[in-house]
Amino acid sequence: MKMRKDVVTRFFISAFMIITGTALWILKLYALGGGIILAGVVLFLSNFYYAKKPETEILYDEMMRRIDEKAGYHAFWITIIILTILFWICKYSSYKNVRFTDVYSIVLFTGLYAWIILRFYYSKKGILE
Amino acid sequence: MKTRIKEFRAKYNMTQEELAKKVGVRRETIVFLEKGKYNPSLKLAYKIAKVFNVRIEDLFIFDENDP
Repeated sequence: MKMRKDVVTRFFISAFMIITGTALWILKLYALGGGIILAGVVLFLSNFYYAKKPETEILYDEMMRRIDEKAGYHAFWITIIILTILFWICKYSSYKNVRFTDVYSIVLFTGLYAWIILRFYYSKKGILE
Repeated sequence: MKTRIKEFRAKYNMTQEELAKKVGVRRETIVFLEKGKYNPSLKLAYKIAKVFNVRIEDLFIFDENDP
């Protein structure tokens, strides 16, 4: 069975991620190792779906690049706004002893999910500039 | 921006996928172009016009009231 080059590359990357995650798990870095193993498994399984698709369905072309840029731009500003809100909450509320390690996950996941959701939204709505 | 891509595709008996492959984009991009949901770059517009052997202005109808 002849496979596209990118499919083969993705299989190798997912295998590498699973091996790396397993090594980190053995070294007792459970959160990091588990996260990388999960990402590797998701990539491995998604490859079976994408392997059947022709290139004209999954190519990373100019429209996808623009959608990524627009979603990234807006996700960046959403992240800045969340950071600003957290800053003022820490400054003027009773949560004065909040540390960065306590809130970084809020900022990280807000930015990440904002990008993912906006990317999905623009890929459905289209972009006109 | 309105386009006449669908009209020219029908004239040349070409599917969206075939056109997408010729110009190096996703089929979805051609769908969005035909629906007026996406404005192509000059390079892409030129490539599509070249496939149909027409001018860009014949393929893409620019309205000054477009956003």
